[in-house]
Amino acid sequence: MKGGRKKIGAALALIIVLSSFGYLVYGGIGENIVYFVTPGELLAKGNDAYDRPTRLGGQVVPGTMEWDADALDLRFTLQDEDGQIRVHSQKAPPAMFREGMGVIVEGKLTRTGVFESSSVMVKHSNEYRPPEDGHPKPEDMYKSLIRES
Amino acid sequence: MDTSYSDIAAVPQRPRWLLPFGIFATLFLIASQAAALLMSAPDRDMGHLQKILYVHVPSAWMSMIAPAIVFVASVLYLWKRQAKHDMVAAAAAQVGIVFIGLTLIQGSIWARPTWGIWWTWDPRLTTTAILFLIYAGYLALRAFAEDEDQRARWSAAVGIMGFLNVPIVYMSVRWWRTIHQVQSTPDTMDATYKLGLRLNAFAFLFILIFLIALRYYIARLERARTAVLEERTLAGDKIHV
Amino acid sequence: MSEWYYIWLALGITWAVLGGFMLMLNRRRITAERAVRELEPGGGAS
Repeated sequence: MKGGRKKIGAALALIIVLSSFGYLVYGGIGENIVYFVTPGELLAKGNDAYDRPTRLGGQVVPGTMEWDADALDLRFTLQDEDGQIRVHSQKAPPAMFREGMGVIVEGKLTRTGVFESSSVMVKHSNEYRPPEDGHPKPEDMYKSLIRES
Repeated sequence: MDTSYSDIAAVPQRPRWLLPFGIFATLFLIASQAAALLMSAPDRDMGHLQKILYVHVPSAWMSMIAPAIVFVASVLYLWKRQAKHDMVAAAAAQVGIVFIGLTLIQGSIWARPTWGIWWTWDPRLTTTAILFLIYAGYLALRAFAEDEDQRARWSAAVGIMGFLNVPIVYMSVRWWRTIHQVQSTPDTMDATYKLGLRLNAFAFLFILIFLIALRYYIARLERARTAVLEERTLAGDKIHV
Repeated sequence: MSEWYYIWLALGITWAVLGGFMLMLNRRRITAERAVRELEPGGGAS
């Protein structure tokens, strides 16, 4: 049968697809339905907040960013209405990183109260404007980050 | 000879509009892409990276329209049990998965310089990856199933249930916290970008329609050929092709 | 890396995939049309 090999391939493909589907639906979504927590929510967890992999999202407090390009040392404070957390990262900030904007970091909150981050992600707003329009409004991106959440 | 001849008479004719429409759709896409890329001023935050919008957003829209076509054709098949609806569903799924795959790749490339990462399991990205898997599974199932009617029934069931994910993908950025921004609206997009996006939305739609129509026509040709060959084998016809 | 690297990568992949898919389907259409034509009595089969 010339269809034999094709059939095995299709069956394999089906199995791979079904298992990754199951993994994503039951494993992936369950964990990621709350994609990130805000500083206030993380601090409210008390003891459970520390030393576990966390995604933290909030607004970069203007004036708190310290970036040492030579030492690759980035520090800034993330805030929401209910709290502030100092974040430390050993990587260069993404090109679009600005103070006042919405940012999501991955890492762990350490006992010292500093969030050690392994990656910094910037959230863009749904606005597209040419620059002549005026100055960037990073607050809009923050709003779009935690609106209605 | 007579029996197979009647079948040959049933061989599908190529729709007259098919190839001219394909040429038109291609030229329209080239013109729309060129116009949008040349017209658009750099965005104040992401600069020229904004240009990826003109392929990513139309692809994402087609990734929802194609599953909708699969859905409607699957419902029609279960209702009327005509092979043509099954073939339309299969054609739309095959073309659709190309657009879903493109959307994921473009999104990933766009995410790297803007968000700072290639990929993250945020709800929008995760549900889109699931959308890809649903249609990959749909096509694998079609390749796997033996009996034509059984294949059509199973595929229709997957085509109907799989579509349930489309509104979830669309609403994911509103229902849950995501890194992906919510949909842009005409209010959040400057006029200089709107025309380019609209042109390309139509261009991608024309391409989608052309590809599905072409794939459907090929399916009909191949089906007609198989039917004629089978009939000849059964009739013990001496003519071998 | 320059922003243009990402822009051309995204645009290039899109154009290549759409163009390639279109050419592939078109070749398949030509093959299928020829195969059907060869079924006709005395037609095409050479």
